[in-house]
Amino acid sequence: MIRIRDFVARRGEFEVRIQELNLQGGRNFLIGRNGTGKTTLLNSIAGLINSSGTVEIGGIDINALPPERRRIGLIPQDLLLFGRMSVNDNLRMSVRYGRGDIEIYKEIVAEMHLEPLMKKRANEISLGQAQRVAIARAIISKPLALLMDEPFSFQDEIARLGLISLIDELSAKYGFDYLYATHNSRDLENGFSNLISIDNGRVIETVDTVEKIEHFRTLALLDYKNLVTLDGHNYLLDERALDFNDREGNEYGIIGIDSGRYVRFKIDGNYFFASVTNVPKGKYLKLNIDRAREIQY
Amino acid sequence: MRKGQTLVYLFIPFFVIYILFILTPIFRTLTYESFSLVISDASSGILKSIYYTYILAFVVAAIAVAFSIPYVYFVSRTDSSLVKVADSLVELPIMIPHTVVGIMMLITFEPSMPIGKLITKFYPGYQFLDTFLAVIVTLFFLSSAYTIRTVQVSYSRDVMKYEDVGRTLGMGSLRSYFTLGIPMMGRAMLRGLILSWARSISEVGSLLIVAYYILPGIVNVAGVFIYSQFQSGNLPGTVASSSILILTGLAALLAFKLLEGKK
Repeated sequence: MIRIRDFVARRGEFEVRIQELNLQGGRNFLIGRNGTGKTTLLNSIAGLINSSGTVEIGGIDINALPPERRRIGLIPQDLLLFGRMSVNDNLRMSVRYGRGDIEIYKEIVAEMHLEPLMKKRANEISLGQAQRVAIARAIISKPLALLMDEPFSFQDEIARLGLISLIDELSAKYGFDYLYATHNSRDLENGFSNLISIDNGRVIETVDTVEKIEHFRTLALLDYKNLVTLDGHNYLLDERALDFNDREGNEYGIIGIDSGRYVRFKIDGNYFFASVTNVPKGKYLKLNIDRAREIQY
Repeated sequence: MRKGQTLVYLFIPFFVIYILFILTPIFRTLTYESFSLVISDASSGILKSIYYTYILAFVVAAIAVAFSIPYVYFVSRTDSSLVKVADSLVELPIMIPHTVVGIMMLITFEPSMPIGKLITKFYPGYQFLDTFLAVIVTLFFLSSAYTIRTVQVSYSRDVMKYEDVGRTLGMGSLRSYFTLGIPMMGRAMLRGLILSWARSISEVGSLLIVAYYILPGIVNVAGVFIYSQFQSGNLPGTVASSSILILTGLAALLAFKLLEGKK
């Protein structure tokens, strides 16, 4: 369990401030646009950026501890394998100099089929291999929590979701919670314990199912469809709000087929998108905004 | 060159002009006197001067590298604005006229001056003028900024984040710095060493004041030696000595570059 209270971390003028965040359950996703504080938050939890307040992992406040004593693993976006060292030296780093466990090292190397890579230099292996090595290196260090800062963002979806599934499996086996920063909604499709939405250094909302999301900003990160902003108000559309007719409204185009079908329309110079079940009939789309659900920004 | 790179073709003259601008005076110097005169000038004392100059410049550069290791860690890991302001002074010696630097060193470290007096208390018989120490201290003042900045940029831009990851693996700050940080800065340290070394070799102005001779009445550093030849009206000898300095400098730089390439 990860618990954060009265937390403030600063980076120059930018500030991440969290009054209370309780993450029950091991599979946590942090979602937010670029530059909203995800990296600052993760680095602060890892102890790499000074912060005030309380950060509890498994009931113990670690916020006064230096990074090496926190038992927080970190996989940054660029992985930061030690490029001139061998894969083996990367994996053994925490065993040799830190809190790593030689038995976990042996298990992980075998389970993740890393043996053929061991003698290669870390800057000579492929991106997919490097991502697996980064996961292995972090887990061998026996973390209580593993923080991941979009480390698989350059992968296709099969590879990315495969790696997240691998993290799930290892998390269950070695008993660590994880907090995974992303701005890709597909990363959530394997399910999650908590989804934390962050914007401008503040947590907007924390939910345990997608259905509980209440904020436009969070929904907009998950899907670009069925959201419109009109006169400063934000709405979530369903098909009842879409009136296709030949008399009035906005012109629209149909994109996709079957379950992926949606329409694209333009209001006040902005394009919006709305899912439709059937091919719409009628030249115009008129929004019945009173049938849409207004949501908070 | 690939298609559509008009700008590249357009800028070729700028490249050629600049390279010619650098090479022309060098070529002119190397061909001004006959090769036999250059060879015979080797017995003028220039070789001994160059030997001492290169050794002293290397000592200065090595000290600068050694100094840069703790310095860049402290500055890069400290948020204090006071430290940042103090750090901005590193480049100051580069902009001070070199004769002024010589005078500054003189009135600071001469045994009759307050700091010189203090040093004399701890080291009786301490001398400053015309000593190796004067050369090293003055050249360190003038050239260390090149090493410090080269290493600092490498550390703060490329190395710190690896060290941070090392710490999340359970390595203490000292271990992480020495095991990960310093080896990763190797190339930057070598580059800094070359820059400070080269800068030290080219120094004349300040050394005319604090170390005209580095061995009593016999040996000058190379720049001072060549300057004194010129002052005595011996232009052919001056150019011949300059040629030897340029050729040995080129050879040394080439060796450094090869070493850097290997790293």
